[in-house]
Amino acid sequence: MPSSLPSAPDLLAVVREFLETDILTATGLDDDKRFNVRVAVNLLAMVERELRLGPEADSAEAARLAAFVNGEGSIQEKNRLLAGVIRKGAIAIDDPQLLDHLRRTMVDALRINNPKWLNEK
Amino acid sequence: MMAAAQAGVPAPRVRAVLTKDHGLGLGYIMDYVPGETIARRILREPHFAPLRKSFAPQCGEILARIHRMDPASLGFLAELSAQRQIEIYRNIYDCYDHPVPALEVAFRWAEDHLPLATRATVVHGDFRMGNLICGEETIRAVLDWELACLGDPMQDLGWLCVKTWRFGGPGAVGGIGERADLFAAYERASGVAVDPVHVRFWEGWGCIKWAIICLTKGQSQRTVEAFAIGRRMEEPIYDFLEFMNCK
Repeated sequence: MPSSLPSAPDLLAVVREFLETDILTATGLDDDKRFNVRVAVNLLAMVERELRLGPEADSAEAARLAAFVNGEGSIQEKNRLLAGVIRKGAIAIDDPQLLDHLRRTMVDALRINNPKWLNEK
Repeated sequence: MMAAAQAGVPAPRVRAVLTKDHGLGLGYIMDYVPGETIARRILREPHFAPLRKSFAPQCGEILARIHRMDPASLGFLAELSAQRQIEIYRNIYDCYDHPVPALEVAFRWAEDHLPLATRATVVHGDFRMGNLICGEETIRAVLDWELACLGDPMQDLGWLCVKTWRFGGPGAVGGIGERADLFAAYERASGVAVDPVHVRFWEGWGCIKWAIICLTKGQSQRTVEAFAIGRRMEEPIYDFLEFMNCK
């Protein structure tokens, strides 16, 4: 990754802000395009959050995964192994440590993908 | 949809079914039904207050009507048991080769909790907030019949309660109603007792199914909207884990 400035999160932010302040406020934008620009703004904000929160979420997930599967593989490889363990029934699906791990993993993903979801009852 | 309207289900009246001679492709022309489908308006705008009060019982009555429809005249409907649905969605998930441990738990939960002794009736398959045209007091039309099938009628009640279809509202039924009111109205209208545990299976399975639909959407169409839905997969998985937790 280059250490150039502005940083990647700043590039995303400036594009998102441009869409929000210059495009979404423009008149004559049809409803369909306006909807899609809003969705695009959300996606940019999501990637901004991923760049900010992703590394920490990844290392926490990797650390938790080590309790269930051995090896030095990537998170994807470890998830593949854990998925296999669960599928073949080698761990109980109400195992508290497993459920706690899965819940934390989903919470960290939602903090990136849609933090509002965590506040809804 | 035509059969549903005949059975007394609020559904748009179909005026013409297109044939090859029309040169317009496949489709049909139906009456315009005025009303609102956008959930956040139905949940929040003051003039929908009367609808909100009776939404759950109205859903119960409409579902009872749908489930009473005669399947004999609807030979094109596929029969989809819970077990068959699990097989279908597991196959779809496996095709993406993107193993998600939480989904493995979810599929096992579904297999362990398969409902026994189910009836098979006509079911709508996608009966939820967003697919209902609402007036200020009544549900005026049920849309989106393309997932209709023959199967366990309790799936329509469970799907309606899936958290995604509450759109941030507090009530289990579409964000604005209570399960007890839905079940009571359904029982009154159908004469069939509702077992909440049985409906619960379909609510849990509904979360899993929606997670797989999100996965599919995000991988099939290259549009901002579809990609955004792809990133919604963790919402129902998180909901499912919470749901599993409060057995």
